[in-house]
Amino acid sequence: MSSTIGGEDEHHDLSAKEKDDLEKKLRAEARKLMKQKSKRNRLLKKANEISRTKSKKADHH
Amino acid sequence: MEIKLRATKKHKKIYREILSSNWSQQTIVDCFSLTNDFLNTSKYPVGYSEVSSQLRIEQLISQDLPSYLSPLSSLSANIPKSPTRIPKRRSKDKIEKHNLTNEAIYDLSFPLPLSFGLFNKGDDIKIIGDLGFLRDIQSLTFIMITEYLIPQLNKGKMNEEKNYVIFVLFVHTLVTWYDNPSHQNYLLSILFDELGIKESHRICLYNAFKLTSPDEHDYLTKAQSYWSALMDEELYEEAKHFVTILTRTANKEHLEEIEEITELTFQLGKKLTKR
Repeated sequence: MSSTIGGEDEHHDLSAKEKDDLEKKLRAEARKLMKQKSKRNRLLKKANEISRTKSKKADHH
Repeated sequence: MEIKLRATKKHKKIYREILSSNWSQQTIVDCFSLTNDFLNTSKYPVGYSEVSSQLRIEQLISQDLPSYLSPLSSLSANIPKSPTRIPKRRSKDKIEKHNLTNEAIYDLSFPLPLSFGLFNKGDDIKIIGDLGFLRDIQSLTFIMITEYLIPQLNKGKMNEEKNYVIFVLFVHTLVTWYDNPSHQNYLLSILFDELGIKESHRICLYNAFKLTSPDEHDYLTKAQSYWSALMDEELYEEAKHFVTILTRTANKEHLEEIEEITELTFQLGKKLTKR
């Protein structure tokens, strides 16, 4: 699934396909580790960081 | 004075590599190294390697920043008090962890430390350039700190450094991500989890989920994170209700995974009710 919001610099972020593949794999691994909260949450944090829309170039400081 | 930061193709490549690599203790050092290189791209280099000798991280304490945290202290006794002075560390191991903490604090609170005497007081510092890239590295650093630095500080019983880091994580979340409430709530959920404030952890995960469109990549990841928190707390009925809503709102390509989540909800729920 692709998104067109934000992260307009193609070099800045992973491609939509890379994101799809990685996040799906990480979520599946996390579901297998329901009883191991710490390991499972690390996988979900990683999946979230990979898949979230990256910041635009707008100044914020 | 203008500080122009530029993310090169090499910086972006390293960032992408870190994102998809197998995360480990080394990854936090990789994040620091990337941040340092990036902050040194200006005519006035401001990476930690260039400024650390002129900077006392504890100068942050003397600012008004602790007031940011005062509304939060009513939430739980787990919210750390405003950081106190950090003791001088003597063992090699603790000095290493202390130095990691200093770099973490500098990178995450950037550009705030620039106003603490690095340049002439009269200088009006303006930071321009690839600032979106900066905060994306900071977000990654935030996660590395909670995954790899705080556990080390816990192990070494270095509470002063830990309180300090938590304080900076809060400030970073509130100040840097004010315009992205979904990610702001997600980062806050991580922090509340770290502090053992379960209800706030769940609320922030739910907020992060609600603020994400079903068309976004992270929609299902955020849904699964919230669902996992419900299951951890054995809130089985809430989890069941949530999965029902999710089935109705999610996109077609997510349905297979949602079916699996639904099955797990019933399987794990049954085990809970049998106890």
